[in-house]
Order: sequence, then structure tokens, then C-alpha cells
Amino acid sequence: MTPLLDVADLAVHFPVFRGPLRRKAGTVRAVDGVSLQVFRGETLALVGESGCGKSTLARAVLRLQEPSAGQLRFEGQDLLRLDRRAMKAARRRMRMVFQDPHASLNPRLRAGEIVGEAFDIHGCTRRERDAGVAELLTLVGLGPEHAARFPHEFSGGQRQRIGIARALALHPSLVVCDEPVSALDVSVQAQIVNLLMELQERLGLSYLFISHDLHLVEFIADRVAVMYLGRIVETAPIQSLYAAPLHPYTQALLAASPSIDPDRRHQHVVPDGEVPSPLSPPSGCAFHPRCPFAIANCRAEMPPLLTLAPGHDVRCWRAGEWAAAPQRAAIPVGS
Amino acid sequence: MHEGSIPIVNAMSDPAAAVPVLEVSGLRTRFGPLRAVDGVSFAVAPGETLCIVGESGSGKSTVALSIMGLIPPAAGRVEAGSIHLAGHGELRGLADAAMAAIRGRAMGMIFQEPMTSLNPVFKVGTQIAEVVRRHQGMSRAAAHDRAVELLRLVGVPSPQMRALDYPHQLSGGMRQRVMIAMAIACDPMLILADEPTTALDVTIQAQILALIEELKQRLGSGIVFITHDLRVVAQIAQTVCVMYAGVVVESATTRALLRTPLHPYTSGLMASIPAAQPRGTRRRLPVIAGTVPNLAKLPGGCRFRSRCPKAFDLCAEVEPPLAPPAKGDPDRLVRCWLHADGVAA
Ligand SMILES: Nc1ncnc2c1ncn2[C@@H]1O[C@H](COP(=O)(O)OP(=O)(O)OP(=O)(O)O)[C@@H](O)[C@H]1O
Ligand SMILES: Nc1ncnc2c1ncn2[C@@H]1O[C@H](COP(=O)(O)OP(=O)(O)OP(=O)(O)O)[C@@H](O)[C@H]1O
Ligand code: SF4
Ligand code: SF4
Ligand SMILES: [Mg+2]
Ligand SMILES: [Mg+2]
Repeated sequence: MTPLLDVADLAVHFPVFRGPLRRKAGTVRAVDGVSLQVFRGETLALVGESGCGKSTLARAVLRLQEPSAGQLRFEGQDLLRLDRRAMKAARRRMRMVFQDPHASLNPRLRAGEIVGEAFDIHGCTRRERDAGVAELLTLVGLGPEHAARFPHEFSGGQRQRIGIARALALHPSLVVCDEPVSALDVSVQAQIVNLLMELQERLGLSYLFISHDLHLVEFIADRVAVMYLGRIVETAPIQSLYAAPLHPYTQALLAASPSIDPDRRHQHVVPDGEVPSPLSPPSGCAFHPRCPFAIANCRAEMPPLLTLAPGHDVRCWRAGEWAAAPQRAAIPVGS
Repeated sequence: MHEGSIPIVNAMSDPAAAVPVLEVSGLRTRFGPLRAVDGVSFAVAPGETLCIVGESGSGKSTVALSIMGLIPPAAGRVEAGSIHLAGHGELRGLADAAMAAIRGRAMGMIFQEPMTSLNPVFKVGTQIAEVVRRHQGMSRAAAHDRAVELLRLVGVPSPQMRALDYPHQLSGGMRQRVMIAMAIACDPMLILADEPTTALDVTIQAQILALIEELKQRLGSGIVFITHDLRVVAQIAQTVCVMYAGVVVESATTRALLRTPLHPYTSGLMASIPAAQPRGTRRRLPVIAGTVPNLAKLPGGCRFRSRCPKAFDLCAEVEPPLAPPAKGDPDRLVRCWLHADGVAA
């Protein structure tokens, strides 16, 4: 099956300038050789530490941020070869939902104008636009009567519904959701999560779903890609990842994920050490300064992403040992 | 994290028995016609973490801002109640200058949105140093060194270099660490944290929760921690207040609240937390339907009534009081007629 979205060796590098003379002090390799696929109708979750490059990757996939290198194929098209006009057309089919429903909606536009923007950009008639807006608002659980209101007249959850309605205009096949519910209440999160799942079932959407809530990811996603310092370190179907995570960083993530049981407070599961600076990433395996299993080779050479089980790729020199001995489940992380 | 390195000044085994760091009673704050906080009381002991959870708009931040004396006078005011800070007495009605001296020194605040509280045109090191200079009268150079030390303490990598960064050059987690560094710069006795980990991923969240816990132990501070994440509550709180539409609807020890939620809103919150479910099927999360009522024109009766699956006649007529449940633990409080003495079965 050809993937809907095929990202290969994608890189996004930012030059960093410092000091009074604004000298170039280095390069942040925010995304550094990422390959991933999103298939039709599936949800691929992207998880990882703050600053590991998730949002940059998401923006690069839509070319809202120009990649420094790599390939991007979407619905069979080579996106990086498209000119502005053709890219604009491609963006009808790939849309984005942002984390912050306050910041991502223009406060001076009415809900109808926000949701209808895409219709205008793509040259639809007024009538098509109004019909489309009414349909979309209804689809996300609001009503056509909300079209005349301004963003500040809505609650956070309602604003996120508007953000989703905007993303669904003109029938995209891929929606990139960058932490779409993180800013919302638990009760509203549940409403939006249900809405996203319902829309996926009805419209056959694919999601690239960025989240830091591993419990939510387990609930919503089909597969997970774990990112660390600009690279994918593990990709796996939900069941394998949660039952037998193979990368020590993934194990740490799962261990750090808070439990609702007050008698299971984590004591020693916080990964030790500092989050490395993406300005000067560690040599070899980027996780080695925090990894309890690091061996000499980990400092010297970066491990390749290897397939250790069907659909389960891991970037770790030692993962093969654990894949071979799955009973070795609970790995203590930290000291 | 760094066990052994922290002198634990607060070794109290029972925080509830100690004199509270902070005592809030009958707090009412309104913004024009809108009663954002409508009679809220709680106390925090030294070394205790009290979590306030609740729907967006329920008044959590307003409680924190009222305590800090930061309600913008043009927008609203604290109308009633008392805010008592150990060693400083009643804070309500203090002059702005007196309040400013207490803020930052005796109370540290970690805000919900670091980007709106950090000044975009100053380097983060300079902003932290400024707090130190203002409250502790250090020299510029000493304050800068202290700022770097604080950045290291809150786990910012390459703190020397990062101190020279502007806020927009940092990721969300790093900005939140900078906020924490500013809040703890003067070893405050009370830390007010308003959703400090909401935008962070789990390892960073776990580190920041551990960091706050460590600082609490080291300073013996009391912490008011606002969050909407019950898992975070489970990890850090000794006691919990659940707010809804300006009032506390339930308060209890963390264990009691999470094991046996009494208020229908609390139960609804617990149910809507995502957890693993079998694949393939039409998976859905249980939701609390509807939205929060308009605080400017609250209907009579129970504030949760429009969304409550268990509402009955009385709920529309009279607002239930916050009281110990008729059956069970006398130490907890709940605002629901289902648990009132002699009302429901
Ligand atoms: N315009 C930019 N210039 C320089 N560096 C940048 C720029 N945008 C992002 N970065 C850096 O790139 C890295 C990745 O940032 P990104 O926002 O993609 O992370 P993220 O995984 O989305 O983090 P978070 O979970 O905090 O949202 C960070 O180190 C960040 O500081
Ligand atoms: N400066 C202000 N002017 C007018 N109304 C305000 C102001 N600040 C807050 N409010 C209103 O007071 C109520 C309580 O707001 P508050 O920010 O305390 O809620 P919260 O519980 O912190 O919500 P969230 O979880 O979204 O942060 C809301 O209805 C809000 O709109
Ligand atoms: S390659 Fe080495 S350092 Fe990296 S995760 Fe594996 S064991 Fe740890
Ligand atoms: S008082 Fe009535 S409406 Fe309010 S929470 Fe209890 S049962 Fe529900
Ligand atoms: Mg991001
Ligand atoms: Mg708030």
C-alpha cells in the first residue's frame, strides 16, 4: 500500500545568531533526517520531548516551514517540486489544527469568515462558501447561527471546534493536529477527541497527531512515532509500543507518564540528566547521556533505525537484546 | 533527581496539623456583573500541595490572582473574604507597594502562559536577575550569576548560554523552567502555580513536578497548584479542591477524592480521562455534555444542574451548601444534594 504521506530523510535546520554582532553561533538541527509514513484512514501519533522538533516537522510537512533537505510525497505528488500556486492547491488536501485555539484564530474575523477562508482562497462562489460553512459548523457540533460570532464569544472548546471546522474545509485527506486538545479542559478534551474520531470514521481522514499525553495517544492512535532531538527513535503499532517498548527513551516516557492512582507516584522514573541542547547534540546516540544502558559504542556511533519486528523500528544499539527477551519488561530508568 | 543534596527543613509528618501558610476564606471576586469567584475557602499548610482543579472559566486563575493582589482594578475587584499569609497577616486591602514587596519575595507565581508573562524584548537571564535585584538588592553581576545558577537548578541545559537567549528562542518547556526560576528566585514560602505543566510532555512534566516537589521540601513552602489534569493531582497533591462556576464543589484528600468521587462533576471528570480501550470498535470517551453556565446570569439552584445526569427537583430550587457528606468521611466536603443530610436516599 502506498502511503498517503511519505516523508523521507526530512531535515529542517535553523541558523542561530548570537551576540551584538549577530554572529552565526551554530545550527539547530530541529528536524534531522526524519522518515515516516501516514497511511489512509490511520492516525499516526508523534510524541517526544518539548523542543524535539515535532511542531517544526508538522510545519515542514505542509511546507509552512521550508525543509532544508529530504523528500515529501503526498498523494503521490512530490511536494518539494511544487511551485507556490501548486503547493497552495495541495494544501487544500492537507490541513493543520493548532494547539492554541486562542492564538490560532484571527480575533477580528467572524467564525464564518475563519471557517470560510479556504473557500475564498480557492476561488469558490459566495453561495458555495456559505453552504460549506454551515455544513462544517454543524459537522463539528456548532450551528450555522454561530457563523456571525467573533472568536472571543466562544469558549476554548468551541474555538477548537472552529479550528477543526476550518481544517476540514474542502475535504482534506490529511489533518496534522499539533496538540489539538492540550489547551482544553478534560471534559472538553473528551468532546473534541470524540469529534476527531467520529470525523475520521465518517470522512476517512488520516491524522498526524502530535501529543504529549501518552494515555490519549494510546486511546486515539493506530501507530506511534517517538521523536528525540530531531530524529525518530522508535515507530510501532500502539499495542507493541505500549506492551513492549524497545527504545530506552520510550521506556522512560511510559514510566514518566503519570498514573491516576495516587498510590503509584513515580519516584525514580524521571530520566536523569539534562535535555541535551539541539545546538550541540551529543555524539553517537543522542540519548546516551541520559541512558542507563549506554555502552561505549553508543557514544561513538549513531545507531541506525532498524526493523526488529513487523512495523516496529528502533534506533538503538541494544534494542535487539530486548526484542529477543521480551519478558524483560520493567526497566528501571534513572538512579 | 538529586537526592541527598537537599537539606530538608520541613520534616513535618502531618501538614494538616501545622499553622497554615495561607488561609483563604469566603473569597469573592467579580469582574463587573460576572461573579468569577463566589465564596471560596481553603488553607495550605507548610509543605503541603493543594491542587485546584476544574473547568476552564471556573475561577481558578482568579483565585490565584486575587491572592497575589493582581486583579486588574479596571476589570474587577476582590469584594469579600480574607486572605491570610503567615508572617504577613491579612493581604486584602494592602497598599500596592506593600503587596509588590510581598509578591516575588514571600510568594512566587508560575503562570499559565509563560510567553505572556515573560518580556519578549529582554534576555531571560536579565529577567531573572531583575527579580533577584529588586527583592534582594544584589549587584548586577551577582544577580546575573544567581540567575545562571537558578537556570541550572531548574534543569535548563547550557544555562550560561541560555541566560542570553530571548524567550522566543526557547521551547515551551524551557520557558516554563525560566518562569519557575523566577518564581523561586527569593525562596518564597508560598508558591502559586497556575497550570505550569499543561503544555509540556511527560518526562519534562515529571521533571518539573519533581522539581517543584524538591523545592517545596527544601523551602518548606506551601503550594497551590492549579491544573486540569487529574493524573497530575494524583502525583503531587495532598489535598484537592474541585471548582465549578466560581465555587468549590468538592474538597478532600487526594486519595479519597480519586478513589470515591462524590460530586457528579468530579465523577464525570474521572470518567472522561482517556485510557486504553480495545481497537477497532467505535471508541468514544464518556463526556460531560454541555458547557459551563454564564457566570453573569447564573440560574438559581445547583450550578452544575444543566449538565448533571443526576439532577432532581430540589437541584433547580436551592443551591446546595458545601458540607460534609451525610454518609462517610467527615473530613471531606461536597456541594451536592445527593449527599446532603436527610435529602436523598
Ligand atoms: N525559528 C526558529 N529559529 C531557531 N530555532 C528554532 C526556530 N523554531 C524552532 N526552533 C528550535 O527548534 C527546536 C524544535 O522546536 P519545535 O517547536 O519544533 O519543538 P516541539 O517538539 O514542537 O516542542 P514543544 O513540545 O515544546 O512544542 C527547538 O530547539 C527550538 O528552539
Ligand atoms: N480580566 C478579566 N475581565 C473580565 N472577566 C474576566 C477577567 N479575567 C477572568 N475573567 C472571567 O472570570 C471567569 C473566571 O476566569 P478564570 O481565568 O479565573 O478561570 P480559570 O478557572 O482559570 O480558567 P482556565 O482553566 O481557562 O484558566 C471567566 O468567566 C473569565 O472569563
Ligand atoms: S543506543 Fe545506547 S545510549 Fe542509545 S538508547 Fe540504545 S543503549 Fe541507550
Ligand atoms: S445538587 Fe443536584 S444538580 Fe447539583 S450536582 Fe448534585 S445532583 Fe447534580
Ligand atoms: Mg510544538
Ligand atoms: Mg486559568
